[in-house]
Amino acid sequence: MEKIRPVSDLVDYPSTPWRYLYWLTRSQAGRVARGTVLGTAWMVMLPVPPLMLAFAVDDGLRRGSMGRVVLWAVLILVTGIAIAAVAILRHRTMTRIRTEAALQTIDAAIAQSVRLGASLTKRTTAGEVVAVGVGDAWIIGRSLTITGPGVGAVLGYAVIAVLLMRISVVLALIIVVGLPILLLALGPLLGRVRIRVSDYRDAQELLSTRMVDIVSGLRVLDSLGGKSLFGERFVGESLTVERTGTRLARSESLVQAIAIGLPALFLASVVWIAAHLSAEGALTVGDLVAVYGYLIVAVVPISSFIESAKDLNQALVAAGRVVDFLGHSPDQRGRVTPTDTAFVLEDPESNLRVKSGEFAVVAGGDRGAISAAIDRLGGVVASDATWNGRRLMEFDRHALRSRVVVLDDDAFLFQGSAREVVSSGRTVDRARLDAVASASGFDEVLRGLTGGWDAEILSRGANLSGGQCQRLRLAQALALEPEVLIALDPLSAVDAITEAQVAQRVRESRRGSTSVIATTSIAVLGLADIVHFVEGSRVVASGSHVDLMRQESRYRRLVSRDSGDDSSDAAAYEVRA
Amino acid sequence: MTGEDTQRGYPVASLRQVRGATAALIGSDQRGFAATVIAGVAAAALGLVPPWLVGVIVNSLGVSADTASVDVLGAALVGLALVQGVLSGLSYFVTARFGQKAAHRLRAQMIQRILALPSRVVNRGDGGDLMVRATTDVGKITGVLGNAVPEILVAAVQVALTFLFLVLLSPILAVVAVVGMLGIAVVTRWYLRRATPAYLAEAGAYAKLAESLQSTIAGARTAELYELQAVRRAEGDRLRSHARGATLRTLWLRSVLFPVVDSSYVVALVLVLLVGAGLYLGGIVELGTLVAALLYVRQVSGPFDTVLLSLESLQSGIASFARVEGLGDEVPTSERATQEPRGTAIRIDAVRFAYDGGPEVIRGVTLDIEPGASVAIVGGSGAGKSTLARLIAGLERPDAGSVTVGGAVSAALPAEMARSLIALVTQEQYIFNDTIRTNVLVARRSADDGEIRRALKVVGADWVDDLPEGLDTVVGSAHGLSGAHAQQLALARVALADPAAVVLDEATSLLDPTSARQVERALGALLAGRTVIAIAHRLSTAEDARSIIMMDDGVVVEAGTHDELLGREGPYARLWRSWHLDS
Repeated sequence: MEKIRPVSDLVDYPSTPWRYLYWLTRSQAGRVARGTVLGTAWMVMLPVPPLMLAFAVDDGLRRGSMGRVVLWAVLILVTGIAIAAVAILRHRTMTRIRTEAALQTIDAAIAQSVRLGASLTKRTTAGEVVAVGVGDAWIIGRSLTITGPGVGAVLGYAVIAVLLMRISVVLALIIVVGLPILLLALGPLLGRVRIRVSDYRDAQELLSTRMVDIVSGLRVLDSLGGKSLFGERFVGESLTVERTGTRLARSESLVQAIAIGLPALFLASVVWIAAHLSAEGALTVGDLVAVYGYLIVAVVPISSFIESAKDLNQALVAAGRVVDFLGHSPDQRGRVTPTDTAFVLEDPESNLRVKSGEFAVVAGGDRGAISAAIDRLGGVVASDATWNGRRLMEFDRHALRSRVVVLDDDAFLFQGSAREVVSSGRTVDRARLDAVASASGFDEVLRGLTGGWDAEILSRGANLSGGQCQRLRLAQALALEPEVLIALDPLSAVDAITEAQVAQRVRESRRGSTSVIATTSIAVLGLADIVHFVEGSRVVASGSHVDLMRQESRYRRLVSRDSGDDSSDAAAYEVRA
Repeated sequence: MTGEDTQRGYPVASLRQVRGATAALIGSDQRGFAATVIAGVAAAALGLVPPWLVGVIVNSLGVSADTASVDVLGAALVGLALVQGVLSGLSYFVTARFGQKAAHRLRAQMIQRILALPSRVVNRGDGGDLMVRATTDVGKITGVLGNAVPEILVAAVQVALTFLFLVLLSPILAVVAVVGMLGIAVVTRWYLRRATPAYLAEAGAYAKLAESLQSTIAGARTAELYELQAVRRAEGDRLRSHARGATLRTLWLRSVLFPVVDSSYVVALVLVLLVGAGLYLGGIVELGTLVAALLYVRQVSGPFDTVLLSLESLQSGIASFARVEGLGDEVPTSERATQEPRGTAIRIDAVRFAYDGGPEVIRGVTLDIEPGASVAIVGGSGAGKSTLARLIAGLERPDAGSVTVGGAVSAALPAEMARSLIALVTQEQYIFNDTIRTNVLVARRSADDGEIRRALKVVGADWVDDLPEGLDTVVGSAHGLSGAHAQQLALARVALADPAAVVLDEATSLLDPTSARQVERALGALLAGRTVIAIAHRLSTAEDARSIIMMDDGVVVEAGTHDELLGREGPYARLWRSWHLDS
């Protein structure tokens, strides 16, 4: 009996940075088109008021006609307000575009994380994933708004050139040819700034890593010392940031000098020429005023053009990182649904074999090997482990999970109320919650939390101790009522008395279901239907705890550590005077 | 360290304190600040000369078409542009340098404060809050100091000078321009009153979203195992729509601010044009003066916008500064040990202790621990064992009674001396993102490589010698280290500190049996010849100790050797029996 589930894990994300940007753009094509129109309109409208002002001077003032002046004044007012309106519409549209694009990237990152699931850590390095955080999303988002300024800048610039043409062909040519040359001059300088920027960023990153380190390890520094050591290191690295920052500022100040000085020089020269032409009678005073106004306005499209190029460049880098992350695929799995009620779970690599209904314990000294065996047996990683002889990888991920739950000793605790955490997003009634709390020993933790089930659990269980986190994770796993529960050392940080109680109650509550617990704790071993003794990475003996204790001296040595029965061996702390 | 953890944040400084701190920050680099102001004002002032010169040119054009005098003015214009460029660059540099220096001083002060935080404060507060202050807030202030403040300064000077020039040109026109821009004052007041909470809410919403994304990434495996995919996506959806809402809210504020401000510029320009035209036609002002005035009014919008837009980041910078300064309130005035410790006997005398505002967790404990003793402290969860360990190590101060080492109050000992007397080893270890050398040097920074190697050898960390880079190998969260190796490094710190007494709080409980053995061997070697106080979660630990202290609910209920206590048939015997019956 095999049911077919609909394909839900398959997503096709764009595979190159350019395609990614296109994908984002297409998702809000209408808005981007509107942004382009508004941005262009805004840029094109900017030089209109200076033109009108020139008319007001020439046509009104110089002719001594107050009526004309009033007419122009009204036109300037209307145009100015229209520009203000277009400006805010443009800003609103651009903000929406940026926001939606950033949120879409964040959503894609979340979707991809849950899609990859357990294979995420294997497929990507932590740093890569963290970089695809919110920073990249915003850089990419910003790049989607460059179409407005981009198209607008070219058009706006053209409009200014045409308007200048009306006044003087020479001036128009100077503007059309001169300014781009000026921009090109900045290019090599910007290259040097980029290098300095990356030096500065590196120094800053080092410093912030140190800060995070110090804050995280404050308790160690507190109990063992080393504060002065780390304090001085930090101050030294902070000084490096200051130095590289100042060095960067030196290069940037040159850019600044040129960025401000050159246009000013350009402006001055053009005004000079215009003034000279006026003096010769070739231009009117109004023309001179207009030339001045145009040049000031011309700075807007130019600087926005530079900004656009910079934004696009950064966005492509960020999109590259995002595309890399989105390009990973989870392990290939089949679509089969496990339906048999009686089953045998088997991991050939470790020789671990569990039958339905058993309360099995896996005991071994090498935690790494046991953890790997559990991942295989639970179908978390690709392996040859089987369910009634059928490879686990052939089963649908969700269908398998609804029957087999693996409890990691370091399972991530998501933020939420105690109720939310334990319920795993399902509806679990109060009686059931209380029952799993009692079985897992979480009830005791709950009594110490203000608000009981409504108490907020911080991400990673940051407001709980190690033992409390373990009991919470156990409660969470039990609440799922899995047919098969596979758990790795679920009570290692819980004190002996509580551990014994909890082990007993878990045993009770799991009666009739299948459980596989990896531990060397006597409290659990004594309750097992069957114990699998693992040496190296393979099961070397299986049987009841009592039998293994009698027959296997190595097993005895392994578990005696916890019981205190066998003080001849390396018992816990060698507490000697 | 159980349920007592409260979620209390750290204090925030008052506006007065922030002002004082800002003044101190500026005061410590007066020359740098003066250079910043002078260069900024000079550059801004120069930017205002061209319109004035254009006005002069227009006037001279009106009088006579003298090409030569126009050319002189034109050449002056070009010369000015050159000077303006140089000055802008210079101004940028001195400002950035001032910002960098100030940021460095701020960071240095910040780290001193963080390091001086008493451990109970660190434990009490929310670690995330401290982290945000140490990174995000300091970064924000640095940004504001390096960008917003200079920008505002230069822009404000430009605005002020523009109006000054306007007044010089024509007081009437200046008044008209101000009247035209009155709308800006009104809308800015309206805006600023709402901006800070709205932008804080926006930043908060995105921080939450970022946090959720990070959790989803870090917990991807768990999300798969517990089928939390839909829950994670739903949380993402919810937080995204919150974030979108917060963005729309600040966007709405700007939607009011921007049009009003932009229109105000136009209104001012039109008013100056109309009134100026009247004055010109009435022969009161010259055409050149009017033209210059009009150019100034047009030109003022740029710097004015800069000031308006920076005000918000200035506000949030001030909020960050207040949070950073607030940490200063937690730093205690330094307390010196009054007595020199004599010997290493530990005396705990009628100690009572409660975590801030919580119930008492230690309720009158008295113990004498002689040098070289080995003591195990047992008891159930919440009996107060870990708290007692922290009190003995001097990491907490008792509310009543005293904890002394060699007669000196342990919590008041200078750090270096305290570590040579007593060290606390817990299961909670932290490996710094630095070399192995630095990680071990934590305990005694004056140690040389030979001493570090010996300390590593004592705890059996021979693997360090096999590393290609030896002591220079960088370890820490980004560079995997097995639990056992991490514990060995942590123990090597203790070996290097060479304390007379060691307090062990479940140093090996999180390790698997094989690693635990390694660590226990290391511990055995380390503990030889020292006073040992072991907090025992496993009874086997207790059996090996010379004497056992049984705690319950913050008091000592029994004390003696394992055999004595078993014979007494008290709580310890019951505990021991119940444990052995179960197994």
